[in-house]
Amino acid sequence: MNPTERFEMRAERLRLATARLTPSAGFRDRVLERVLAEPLAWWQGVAPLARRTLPALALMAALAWAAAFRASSTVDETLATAYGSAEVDW
Amino acid sequence: MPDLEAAVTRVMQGDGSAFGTVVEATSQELVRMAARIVGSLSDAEDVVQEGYIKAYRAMMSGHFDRRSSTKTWLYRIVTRTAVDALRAKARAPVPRDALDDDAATGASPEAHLALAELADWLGVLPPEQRAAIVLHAIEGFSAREAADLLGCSEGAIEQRLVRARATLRAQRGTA
Repeated sequence: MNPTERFEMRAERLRLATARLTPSAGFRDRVLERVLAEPLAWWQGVAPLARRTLPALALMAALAWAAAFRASSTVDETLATAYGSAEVDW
Repeated sequence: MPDLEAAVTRVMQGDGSAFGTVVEATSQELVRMAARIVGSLSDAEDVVQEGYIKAYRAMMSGHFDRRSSTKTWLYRIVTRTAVDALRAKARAPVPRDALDDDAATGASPEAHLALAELADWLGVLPPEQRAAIVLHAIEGFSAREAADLLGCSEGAIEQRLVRARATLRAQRGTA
């Protein structure tokens, strides 16, 4: 190193000189082996599945709620008619 | 160039093997940046591997919200892991001989020499200043981008850069 070399010049020289640094051979395989051996908590396996099924489940829940509301209205109407008839009979 | 974002989508849907594409697409840049921060290629590989494990866990558990690009997010994880590694090394220094296993890695002798020179040059700086100098002066990130990667304010980065340059100037004066 030249003792009078300016900060920017030295940084640039070292940037260029280290630009071709590469991981050692087999790095990708070592990482994959290590990563895929990671123990996953049960909810970590469920999360990706849940992300896919949640919209369908939400739609089904909304349809079920609508059907229940409609059925309940029909029962109310039927009962109201029955009470009305009873009143007239009485 | 493998499609990084598509591979991340597959990993997040539970296909762990697609993580290989993520490693393939990003490992060279990440290892080079980590090596410049920690000053050793073998330490950099450890740092990047640890970063990948954190990333994989976050992807599988749905914690990666994809608000930033995958590459930026991985840079953030690896930068912070590298700073943690430097802090740990400062607490428990490793003998110099133990660092010489870099010769076993694939880079050229010139690159190793340059990396050793960089490590010596920046070795006087605390980990946060060292990371700030590498990100800004070597990797070419703006102060704002470096702040995002290191999880601090832009002002803090500017301050670290000023202090680091002053320390390096003083060191040159005493050399």
